[in-house]
Amino acid sequence: MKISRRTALKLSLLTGFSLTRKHSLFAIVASARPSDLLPPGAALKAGRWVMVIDLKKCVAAKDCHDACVHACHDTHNVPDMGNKKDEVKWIWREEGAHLFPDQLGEYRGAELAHQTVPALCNHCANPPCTRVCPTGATFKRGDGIVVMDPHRCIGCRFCMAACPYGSRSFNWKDPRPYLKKINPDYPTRTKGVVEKCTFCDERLAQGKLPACVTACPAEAMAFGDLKDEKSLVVKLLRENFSIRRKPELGTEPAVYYLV
Amino acid sequence: MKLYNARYILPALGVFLVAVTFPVWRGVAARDAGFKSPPNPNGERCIEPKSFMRAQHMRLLGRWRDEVVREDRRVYIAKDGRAWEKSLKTCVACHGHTDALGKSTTAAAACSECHSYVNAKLDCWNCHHDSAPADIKLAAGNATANQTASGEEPR
Repeated sequence: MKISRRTALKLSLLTGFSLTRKHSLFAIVASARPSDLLPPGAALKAGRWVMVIDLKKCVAAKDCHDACVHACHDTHNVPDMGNKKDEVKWIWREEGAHLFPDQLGEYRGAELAHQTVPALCNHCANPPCTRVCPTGATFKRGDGIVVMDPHRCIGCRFCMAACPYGSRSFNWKDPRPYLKKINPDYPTRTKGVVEKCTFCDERLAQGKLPACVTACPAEAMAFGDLKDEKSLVVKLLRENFSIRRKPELGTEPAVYYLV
Repeated sequence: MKLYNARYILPALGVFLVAVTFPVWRGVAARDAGFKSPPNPNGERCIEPKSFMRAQHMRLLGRWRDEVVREDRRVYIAKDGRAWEKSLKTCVACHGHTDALGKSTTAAAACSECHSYVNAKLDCWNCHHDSAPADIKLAAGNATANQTASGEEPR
């Protein structure tokens, strides 16, 4: 049998490959595969995660001491930088007039303009931040959560310029010295990356609701699947009038406010 | 041929040779010290065989990172069937408190035993915690941050 030059090269390549298999990347692929077959377990899954904030309940709970903000920032090691310029925030309280320009009536609803209500990343269905990110560090998951991959963030801050809601913060300094206490279950961030609310994707994976939702003493925040007709959020949105921040931009926020 | 001033020249030549070849000797001496296995004080096998971890741990961790952050797949089944959380916490649980001699250490210190030798710069520990939860300490300079904020009650 005559072996052509082409066949000989192919055979030698295959031989070499099979010899190096033990430590090759292919071995890792093979060893990692069973995790795909693992049952999903306790993790919470959804077609589209949304949050519904009942502003009547929220505003009425005057003595909550911003429980949602503290719960989130303690859980995710968000530092208190002590000044507005360096501020890092995932969820914060803001006056209604700033959150809903052009949406509050002159008479009815006018009182909301001066009341502070929670604001966070809207996890838009059509997020401008992910479109401008040059490295793919921020992207939208299948369930609608817009997540940050700080490993790939190069700190260009295009996403901050693109976000119409001011939901993103930049780490101008190493945040660790500014943490009052550390949650060992969650990493901190480093100087030079952008961060924001992730709808607690790490808690959802453990079967827990977001930290702010569980912390709210007035139970003003509901979290659930918009694609599930029987979910609480769909019920709330069907039965109540809701607004979203800056709907005219077409970003389709996933955070609804009941007014 | 006569070598004048040999008693000065020959020792000086010796000193010169030792000085010039010093980097080579230092490298030979450091070779043994450089590649110690990271301490595994729990006496447990690492998630995969030692030879695999030694050669591929960086790619394994890179895959874990992408699978967890970008694909939400968080459980790793090793070749021997044991399941592990894809997290540096899994590494730190063994490598993050005491070394083989029972001395207190951090994962950052354990990793740097090899990485400083091969001049590999890690930035994992800029964000991730390098000690087991009980041993995590706040970064230096936090004392002042604590004092200024001691008046308000964090929830």
